[in-house]
Amino acid sequence: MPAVPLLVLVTLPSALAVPCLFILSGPSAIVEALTLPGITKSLAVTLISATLGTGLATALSLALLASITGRSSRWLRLTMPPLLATPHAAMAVGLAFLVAPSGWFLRLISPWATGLERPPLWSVAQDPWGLSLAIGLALKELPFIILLAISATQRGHLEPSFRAALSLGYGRYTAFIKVIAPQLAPAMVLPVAIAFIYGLSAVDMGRVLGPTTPPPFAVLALSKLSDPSAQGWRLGLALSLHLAVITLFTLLAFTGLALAVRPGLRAWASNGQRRNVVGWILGPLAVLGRFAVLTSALALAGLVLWAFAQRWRFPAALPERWTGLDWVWARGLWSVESLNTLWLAFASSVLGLALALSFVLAERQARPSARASIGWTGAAVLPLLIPQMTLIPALLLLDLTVLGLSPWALALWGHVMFTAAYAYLSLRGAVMSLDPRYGKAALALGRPPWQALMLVELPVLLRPLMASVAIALSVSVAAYLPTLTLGQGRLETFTVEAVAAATGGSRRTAAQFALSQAFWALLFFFAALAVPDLAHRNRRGLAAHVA
Amino acid sequence: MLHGISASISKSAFAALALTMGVSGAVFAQDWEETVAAAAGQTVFFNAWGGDERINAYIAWAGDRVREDFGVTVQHVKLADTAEAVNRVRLEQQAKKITGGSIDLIWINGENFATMKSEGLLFGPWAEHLPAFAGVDVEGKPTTVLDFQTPTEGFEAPWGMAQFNVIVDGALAPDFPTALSDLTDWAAQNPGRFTYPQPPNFLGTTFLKQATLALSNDPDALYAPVDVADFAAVTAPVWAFLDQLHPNLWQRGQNFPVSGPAAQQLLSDAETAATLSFFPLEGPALVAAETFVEATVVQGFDGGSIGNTHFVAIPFNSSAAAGAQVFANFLMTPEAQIRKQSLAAWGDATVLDESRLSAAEQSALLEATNGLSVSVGSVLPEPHPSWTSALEAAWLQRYGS
Amino acid sequence: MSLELINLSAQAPSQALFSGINATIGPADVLAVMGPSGSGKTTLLNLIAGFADPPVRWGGEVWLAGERLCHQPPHKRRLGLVFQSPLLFPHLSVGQNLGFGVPGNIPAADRRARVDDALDQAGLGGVFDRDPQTLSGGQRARASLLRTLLSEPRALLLDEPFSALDEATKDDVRAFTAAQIERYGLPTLLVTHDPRDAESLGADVLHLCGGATAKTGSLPAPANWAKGSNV
Repeated sequence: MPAVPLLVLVTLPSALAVPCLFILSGPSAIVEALTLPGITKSLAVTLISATLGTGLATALSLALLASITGRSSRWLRLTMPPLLATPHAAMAVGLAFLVAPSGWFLRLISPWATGLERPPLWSVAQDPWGLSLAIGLALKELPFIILLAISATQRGHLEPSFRAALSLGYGRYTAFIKVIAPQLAPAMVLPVAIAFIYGLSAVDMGRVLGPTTPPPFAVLALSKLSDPSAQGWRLGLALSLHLAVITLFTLLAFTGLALAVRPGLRAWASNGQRRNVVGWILGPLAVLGRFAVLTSALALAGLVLWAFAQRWRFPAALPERWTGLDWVWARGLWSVESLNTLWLAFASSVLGLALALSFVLAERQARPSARASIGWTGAAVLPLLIPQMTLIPALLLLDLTVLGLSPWALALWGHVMFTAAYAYLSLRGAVMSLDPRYGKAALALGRPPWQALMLVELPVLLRPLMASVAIALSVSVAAYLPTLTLGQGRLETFTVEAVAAATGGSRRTAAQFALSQAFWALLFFFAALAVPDLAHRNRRGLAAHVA
Repeated sequence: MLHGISASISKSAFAALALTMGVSGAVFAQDWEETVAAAAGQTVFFNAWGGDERINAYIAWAGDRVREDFGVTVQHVKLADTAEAVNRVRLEQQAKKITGGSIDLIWINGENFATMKSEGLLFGPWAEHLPAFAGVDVEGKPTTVLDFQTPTEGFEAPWGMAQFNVIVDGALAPDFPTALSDLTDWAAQNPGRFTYPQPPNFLGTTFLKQATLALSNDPDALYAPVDVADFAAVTAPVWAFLDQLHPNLWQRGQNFPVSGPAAQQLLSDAETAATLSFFPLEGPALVAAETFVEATVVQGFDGGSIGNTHFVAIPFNSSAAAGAQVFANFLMTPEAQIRKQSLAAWGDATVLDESRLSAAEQSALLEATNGLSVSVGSVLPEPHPSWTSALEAAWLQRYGS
Repeated sequence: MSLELINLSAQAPSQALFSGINATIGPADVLAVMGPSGSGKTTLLNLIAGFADPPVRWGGEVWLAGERLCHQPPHKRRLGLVFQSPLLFPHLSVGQNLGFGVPGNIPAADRRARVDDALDQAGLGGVFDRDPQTLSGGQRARASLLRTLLSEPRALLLDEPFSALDEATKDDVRAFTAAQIERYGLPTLLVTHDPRDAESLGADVLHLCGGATAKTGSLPAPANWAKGSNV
């Protein structure tokens, strides 16, 4: 019964998305969309960038995790949350500025080292096959995968098996890949799949780092959706539909591939060889991973400078003219964007957490078998398994034709779908592995079930709960398509402004909005993470009504 | 200094408003009073392209002004592409949402206007009943009532005048040509230093139209619907020109900036040496804002350059049509028009008849633009709107895939 | 007040755990349930406490003080359940943990007094504000039992209550537990695999043999303890 709200508000509308698009685009548009100029190459760009980006992010994450296993890793834990909270669009703008012919890397060494007075003619960003888009996606997905993997490694028994492997004569990286990685794999499959699907439908990053002739598939779909003619618009819907189908088939293909190579991998893991090429590669990859984190940090630093730059021509290493507090700043953090960002984030996080929590508690009660639990998880994260470019337009159509909600309510709903899914994802492990005897002890002491939940189980779960809140808050703060499309343009948040400015091309405005947005995201993130510490320090305040 | 100007403008604006109301007669004055009364307290969702921070700031200012004077709240819905708004109105029409629509006013012209007007998506006619419309230079600026060959018939109110031009970094490219036919040679000597926003961005599309008008053997064909012309023959010289030009463009013509501001960013990064603009005062305004270097010059094209008017229109199901009219009217007042033309604000030329402005207003206008001209040579009218999508589709077919 | 088990049986999906268990545990009496792992000891305890897990089918009746418990939810049965690890709630201080056990209708001032009294009598004075994590194993075990006793249970269900303790502490806590059972006159069911637990509490023994039958009997001879207690 507690599972019903999430099923109705999150799973059902996601499941309706595809049929909804099928009906509204119509067969002729669905066929015609496949004959658009450049459609094949556009699809290739999308598949290459998403596959390569996710693959690279996964490899770098594994290498970084291998290099920190059994060691103190404060730097990684401290740098990942800000990078996770940084919106994709801002990261893309910052990265493009780093590597452009007139970018920061070259400026820092020009003209004294390169002799260049003018930007060179070669180009790195926006290459025709989406390689720079792949790198951008990898940088942005890295913190997501690492953080979810770290929360999995804290489950306890990985460290002993790592030490056991070391004592059997395996090197650090070989031990990691042969012993730890297989244990991490079940926990990492879902985050990696979600990152991959995100990459397939990345509109904001695709617009900044992707090629334009033709653009990535999702960008093409969005541009068709904003074609003034009715037929062009139906083509856009049809493209969104195709994207969903493509996503399904690529996921099936990768699942098949994984199942096919798994026996081989297991045989390889147990072949007793202490030295091998994978272990040899992981070391340099870990260095590359550190370089990737550094690059992301530099991209953000470049953005900070741009937020205050007026004129900054090649080859100056720093802005020539600085701007003071211009109008974005002048309206300050109490602007309409701030208020919208805040209420959407708070309302959607609270609702999303409530839905996810009641769903996961219902799941715990039902004690599903391994196969059935795939169904439970699938239902909760369905919005993340469908490309946003498919889901969001479908939700808008559903609203306009059937529901008639106000833009505010609809946008909130859209946000809740994502906050609930991410909250579930980050909460499930902790709730399922909570010692059931805590609840039993409370019941046996004569407390009714609701008190056992509210006074014992949830307080014990405070840390993972607040981590979910932090993730939900930053998901809401960074949500672009749900805010823009479902808010029907009436909801201005910093993310909407930042993406509009980033794709509009104004680096300074994009930087200013992105920084404003990152401010809230980071504040929420660290505030939510600080709550358990404060509460535990003052345990009495938390439970005054108990003793 | 700025404060002084706007204060004096403000007073004269009321004088002009009073005057026009008197002139245009009691019939509309009565209606207008009712409109103003109905508008008070309304919130107008103004859907306008939001990619330029200076324009956004101007809209925010205008919104503040109508809240002060009329109690109308304007909320700028920043679009990436105006067609998003057109689609939403169409969707609402299909969903039979005939009142309480989500859009109250759209910044629009050309193909989008033609589409909305022909599909019955617009409220009106209303624009010519507005008191401030009397000041519009309908005679001298015929595009204020003829939008890309489509008569406006009061379904949209003129807001500003645009003329296609090139902003050139005079230090990097002192010899940037004014004849499009010389551009290929210049690009060959300066590879990688020029580009244009990718169609269907309106600047890129206008570059195609400008090139077609300049290079085609039959430029008159562009002023009739595209389906009565021999498209291939009319446009053949343009594709030959672009085939020759592209290898020497920025990034060898394999990528194009997505928008005007993106192209401007390339100029201010010194990656390119020239960029396209629709507002002749935009270049000087961006020099004044210290985005571009002092050596920046603005130039037109030999044989004239395309000029048009941009407008605001009200969707058929607007939930605040009265407020939208009050705001549209304010946008046409001398106060708003002079500020819009100023280098400090936007640099977009006025739709008003300058000779009918008061002496104080005329000098304020001159001061606002630093005495610079808002014209870059003779004005070529926009081609028939049907050419827009035809040229865009042909470009995408050739270079966009 | 006594706890009566009438013809209890339990059936896991793949095997029968036990059947035909009949026992009457009088005030301050202790019944020790022993048997190999998987024989259903903990299932029996959970069944009495009201935590019957869905895959297990069970039959029979449980009576306490003349009241039939079978359809009462766990929190209304007033059976004190003590776990293997002391399981004090980590988010509460020691005193708050004990306060959690005191029935809700007791006024606030009395609650505090009861907790303080209990702590003092157990030799735990001064730990009220301590973090449970900072107590020794024996202190935690005692605090856990006190928490249960403060909830005014009508019977005690002890699930391997001493197995997590080191040898030196075990005897202490066994003695403390025996004293409390005596003091409150509670019928007690003890699940354990260690015959010394049963002996220290002076318990009768019920052997679950992993089959369909259950036997009651006396303890095996001390010489056999080290080998385990399967009879």
